[in-house]
Amino acid sequence: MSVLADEELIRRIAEGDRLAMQGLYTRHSTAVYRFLVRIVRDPTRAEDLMSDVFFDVWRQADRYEGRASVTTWMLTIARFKALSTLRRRPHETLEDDEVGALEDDADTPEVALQKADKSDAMRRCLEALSNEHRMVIDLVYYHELGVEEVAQVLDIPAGTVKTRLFHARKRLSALLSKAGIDRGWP
Amino acid sequence: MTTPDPERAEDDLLLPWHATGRLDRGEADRLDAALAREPDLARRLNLAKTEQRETVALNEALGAPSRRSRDGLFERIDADLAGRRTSGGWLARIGAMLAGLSPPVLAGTALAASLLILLQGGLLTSTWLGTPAPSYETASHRETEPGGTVILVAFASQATAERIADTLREAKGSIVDGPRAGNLYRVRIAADAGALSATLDRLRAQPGVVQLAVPETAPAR
Repeated sequence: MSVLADEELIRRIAEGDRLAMQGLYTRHSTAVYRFLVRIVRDPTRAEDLMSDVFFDVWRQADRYEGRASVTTWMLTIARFKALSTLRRRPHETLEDDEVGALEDDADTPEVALQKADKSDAMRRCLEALSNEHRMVIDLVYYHELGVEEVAQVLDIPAGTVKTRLFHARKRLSALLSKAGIDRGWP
Repeated sequence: MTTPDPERAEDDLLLPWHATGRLDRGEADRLDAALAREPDLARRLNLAKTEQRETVALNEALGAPSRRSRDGLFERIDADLAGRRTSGGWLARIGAMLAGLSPPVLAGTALAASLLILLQGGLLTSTWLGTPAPSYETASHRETEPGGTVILVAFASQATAERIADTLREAKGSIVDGPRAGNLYRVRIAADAGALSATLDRLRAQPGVVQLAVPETAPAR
């Protein structure tokens, strides 16, 4: 059995094909859900938002023009919905400096180093990045989008995508350094 | 003082995409050549690969959406499909019938339909809306319209109260009277005469909720 391309699934969804919608959901729901969890930091709310994203896809499939990949299109909708939610509840957004301060209160770098190995430290530092930095890191490393695709999702120029990722990686190095891990860069 | 080499700076910016294999052929070849020349650039590429590995592990640890959310989504989709079928059925039949007519017959039919609509508009006004004046009327019930425009709306039988409320909210409308004959409600919307047509189109674009939305041709009593 041949596997239908995303674009073909969207064409069928635009005609009201429920089965095609199931196929698209099976293929992309986990990635969209994880992208949302990383932004809103609440699995329940991320599930609700993910459901809204796919319902938008169902209702608006006839407006998909193929200028971006289906993944890019869905992540763009997801980002818009997540940021709208965060704007409605601004007190719930934790930026990296606040997270860093909280972690500093709990663990000194020495204690953190004792508690976790290098890999754990890296993941904790990835978690501690600001939303802006987390998003660009996730889109490049986990969702494996190209420069132009990330630019479409984040609605910023391609040049800004490159510098934003560079700054996110520098910030990661700084957080790792705080945790006692020197990467020798930058 | 040394001037930074912009190409080397660009190489550093592109390392993450080299790690994920998402560079175009030209960029990848150029970066491969630079990596062969510069051992420190290769070390920095390894840093990017480590970042990718840990980012993937972090995301995979987040799990997957629950069965509950999947079921909820497809319930919404099924409701939407049912709404489309209800509104699409008679429209499709009329469309098929019109498609089978020759142009002269079609033109004549359109003219007759226009006349019929005008006639019905008049009948609607006089029959449904022109009911006898009540024997008494409170001062607060006087039918002056305090801004906005009154339209007539029939809601789809399967539309839930929640969806009707959402639709009215979006149209900045509120029910002021009804149901009247034909299950018509009088709805006051915030749109002025200029924006009326757009608001009616938006309402009609909700087939699962709105069956009919037309301007009120004369002030109702």
